[in-house]
Amino acid sequence: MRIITPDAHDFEIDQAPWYLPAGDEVQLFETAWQAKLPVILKGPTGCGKTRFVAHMAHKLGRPLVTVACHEDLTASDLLGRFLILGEETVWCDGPLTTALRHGAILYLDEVVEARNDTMVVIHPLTDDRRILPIDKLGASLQAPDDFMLVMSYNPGYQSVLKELKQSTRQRFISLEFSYPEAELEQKVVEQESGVAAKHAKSLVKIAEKVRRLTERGLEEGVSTRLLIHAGTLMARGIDPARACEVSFVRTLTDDADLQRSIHEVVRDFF
Amino acid sequence: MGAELLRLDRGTLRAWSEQITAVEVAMGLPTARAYTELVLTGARRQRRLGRQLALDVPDNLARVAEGERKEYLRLMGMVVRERPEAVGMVARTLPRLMERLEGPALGKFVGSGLDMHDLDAGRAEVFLKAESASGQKELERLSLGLPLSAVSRTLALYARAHCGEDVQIRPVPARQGRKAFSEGRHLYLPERVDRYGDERDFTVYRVLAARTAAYIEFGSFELDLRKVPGEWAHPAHDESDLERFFRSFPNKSLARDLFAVVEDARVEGAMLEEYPGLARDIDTLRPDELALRPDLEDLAPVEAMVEGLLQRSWGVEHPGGGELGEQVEQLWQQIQPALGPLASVADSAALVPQLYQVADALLRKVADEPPPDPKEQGGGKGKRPPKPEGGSDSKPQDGAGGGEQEYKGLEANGLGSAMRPEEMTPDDRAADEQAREVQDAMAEEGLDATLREIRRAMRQDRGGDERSYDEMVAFLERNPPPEGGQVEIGPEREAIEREARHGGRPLDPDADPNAKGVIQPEWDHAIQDYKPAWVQVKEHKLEPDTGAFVQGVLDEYGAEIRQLRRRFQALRPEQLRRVRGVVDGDEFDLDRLIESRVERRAGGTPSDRIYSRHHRNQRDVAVAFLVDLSSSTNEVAGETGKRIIHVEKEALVMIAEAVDAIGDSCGIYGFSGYGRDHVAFYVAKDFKDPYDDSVRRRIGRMSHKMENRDGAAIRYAARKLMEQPASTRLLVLLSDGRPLDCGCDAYYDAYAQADTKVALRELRQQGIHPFCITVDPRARAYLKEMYGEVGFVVIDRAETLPQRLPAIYQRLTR
Repeated sequence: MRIITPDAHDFEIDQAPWYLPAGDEVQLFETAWQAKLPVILKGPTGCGKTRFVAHMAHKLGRPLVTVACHEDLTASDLLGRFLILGEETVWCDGPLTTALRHGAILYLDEVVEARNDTMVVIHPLTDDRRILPIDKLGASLQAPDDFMLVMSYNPGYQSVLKELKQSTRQRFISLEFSYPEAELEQKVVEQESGVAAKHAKSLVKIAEKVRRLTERGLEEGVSTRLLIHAGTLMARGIDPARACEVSFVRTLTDDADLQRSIHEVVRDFF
Repeated sequence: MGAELLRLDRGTLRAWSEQITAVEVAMGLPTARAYTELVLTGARRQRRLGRQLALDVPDNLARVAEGERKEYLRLMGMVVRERPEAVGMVARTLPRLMERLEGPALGKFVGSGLDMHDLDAGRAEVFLKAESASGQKELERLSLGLPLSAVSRTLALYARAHCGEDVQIRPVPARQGRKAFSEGRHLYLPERVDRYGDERDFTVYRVLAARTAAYIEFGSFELDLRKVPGEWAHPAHDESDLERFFRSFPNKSLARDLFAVVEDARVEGAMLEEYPGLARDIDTLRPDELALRPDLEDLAPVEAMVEGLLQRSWGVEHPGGGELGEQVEQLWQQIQPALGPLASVADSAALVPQLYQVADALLRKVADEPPPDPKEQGGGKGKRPPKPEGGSDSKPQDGAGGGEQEYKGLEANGLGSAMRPEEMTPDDRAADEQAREVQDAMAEEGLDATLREIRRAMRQDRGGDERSYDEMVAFLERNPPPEGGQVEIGPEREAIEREARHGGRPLDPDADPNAKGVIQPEWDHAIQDYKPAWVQVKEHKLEPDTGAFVQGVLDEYGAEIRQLRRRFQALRPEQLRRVRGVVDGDEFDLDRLIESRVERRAGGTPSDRIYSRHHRNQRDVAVAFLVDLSSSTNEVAGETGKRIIHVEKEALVMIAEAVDAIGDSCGIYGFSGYGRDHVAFYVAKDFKDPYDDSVRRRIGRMSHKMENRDGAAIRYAARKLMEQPASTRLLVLLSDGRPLDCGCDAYYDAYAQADTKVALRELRQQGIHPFCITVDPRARAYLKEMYGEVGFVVIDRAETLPQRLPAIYQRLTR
């Protein structure tokens, strides 16, 4: 029977993704990779988790297989399935199997979105056995030394149905991410969006003020990603206040009073 | 009057008698009389009308400001006589209208609405709610500017974003005039701005909020006199350095104004540096601000000088021209060092003595008097005879210095802002005093921190504030006693408690005297251990009420409930477990695979729907809603005038509908009680009860009781949940965020918070997901400590709870 595995080349990262370290996360990640430990990246949305993984994959010279988790994700979606091709039945590797075969970094993005019973398939990979049993193939794959499992997780996401089980959680080392310090964040916004330094500085200041409103009705503060969006629009000639309006004022909340107060904070700067 | 009521129908009488005590207690006897009169007027016309008035009016009346209730009842009387069919609509919409209109304009607007009612009732309501364009236009035409209540939440959030403190927006107390100010903790803004009648009125509020918040943000209240060269008055107890600083001058108001001019200029500079966009707003308002200032020529020399400095700081060069202009320019030059980007409040204060000297010399020159003995400076003894002209008729001042009469002070108007450290509450002063001590201790170690930082750290450290007991007493005094039991503080209350403990009559009509108690442990943070068998919880099943409450909810939220049910029904998972014949799935669907092969061999076009897929997203959720029924829930929530308990019950009806629609298993409980032997756990719906009308009426039965011992109720609810065979168990706690039970033992502050926290932690260990919703608008700093380990949300407008609760639930279980 034929086995189809997507080409490793498709997952390689050619250009170094730009990333500014905020602490010792680069060193820790590298060490975890060498020591074959799986890693969880915890942090609010849009603070640079995905970028960090891409950066590290490039740095370590590994292909990066990313799975955006969702509710309907099944074990077969991860492992692979049989396909009928003409007269032939072939096995097509899923992303997990693919990553294993290529010694890649497997990145499960927003892992809480997937159902807990799906996540059980990764358990044998995360202890010292590092194997992946595929019962449909009647085989068990041994993970090569280069293989690494990384998941991301947003603890601010308050759904009791979507919490990471202890049995899953306790297999990983955790790297905590948060929004970068003002100076760093300004650099990031500047670099990524190409907006003038002056405006990047204002954007970061707005973010600092708006993040003070979390727990006052705001579910989550404005992310670095949204700041970059606003900066990108600005760099392309959109009026700054308008750019903020569409990038995050409207996005963050539906509460009219809160929206208005964020709008007013934006107006303090633009 | 009562006798006449008795002759009326029973429904009206019952409705009236349910409300009258609360009306009298909350709003006083005259209002209660007028209310009764109104009910009678209505009942004489139509039986239903009487009952409707009896039920509708109290809640709406509570939304109206105290001084305007008479007017509300008068207008309602008019509507009863002229358009009885519009009574419900007007009763509902009038409170909101009264915030925006008054006097003849109000009568006119209501009149237009009533005229419209003859043609189309729906349109009239929309008009009176000012939702329709014509209503808005009319309202705008008649309206008197922008009330603070309409924008206070936006402004509070805005100011919090600015200074990072939990500031509240409050109206300027009447005795303080109209000028906005801050006392270092909160922002006091004028109740209404009606300068422009357009969007600029909001700009006025915005600038005032930014300015007063800037006093906090840029440290105007952080004056440390040790950092200001000079000799200052001897410190007094519980006095801020700012007050001490003013007190150090014989003429306090002169010193205060001079300081204000410099400090305002410094703060405005810092503010514009941080928030460049504000310059646009200030530029918009400045011409009008200037136009409001008095003409320098009309002022006595000293006032002219201070006023000139103020106008100079707003960019008027050589104000007043001539000699005065020159002098002001000179002084302005002297002030510059205090305006740099690195300047602090100490720099502003350091400049005041020299400005004061110039002004004082001017005062003396006018009074034709020799300069004082330099020793007197700072001694507070500048006794001089009152000056005959130029202000001898001015308002009497604090009287600390003899020179007060000669200086009239800067004119205040609705656009200005001020620092008023003297308005600080004793509690805040005490907190500052403590913070200062910490600051001193830190300074000795070479550490530098502002009072604000220290206060914040202390709040978090302590996990609560210590004034809660007094607050609780005040609380109980403010609130009417619970229905049924005459519980009061003091000896009577103790007697009742004793009686209750010895098996006397129950304190609470809803309590079941035969209920069996369950003994539970409690966590004592002082010994860091459990006290076993410490609390007794008794379960009481609520009796269904008359249904009036539910009817009211259905009337008000009927459309929303239907929508809600549809929304949640859509979330109900299908019971299908396996979907066959999909193009992509986990496994082959054997039948279809064979079919497809056969088709292919036969030369046809085979279907590619040969897979099957598992659907396992069945919901298996059991949720318990646990509501705090303590006496504090009898407080009025926000602007609607409804009581918190009322809003919570509305929210419960809404959520019960939603949960029923989605098919989750659900229990609805309330808790209160008194003392550790009498924790009462009220059941409106047990998990096994089907959701029906009697459940709704049991929710209607819920009422405010006594105390709330959150930990005990949480543990008891956990027992209920653990009996449920669900895979996901959820406890939603609705409370005021302040566990408090001061019966025979003290359950408050740190103890109560620690127990609540531990009880919630136990829940998690049992696999229950707790989620806490707090409806106290005064969100307290310790909430994060108490609920921090579990999810929680503070709803700062309790009246939005009926809409928010289903949304929260949906998010929690999505």
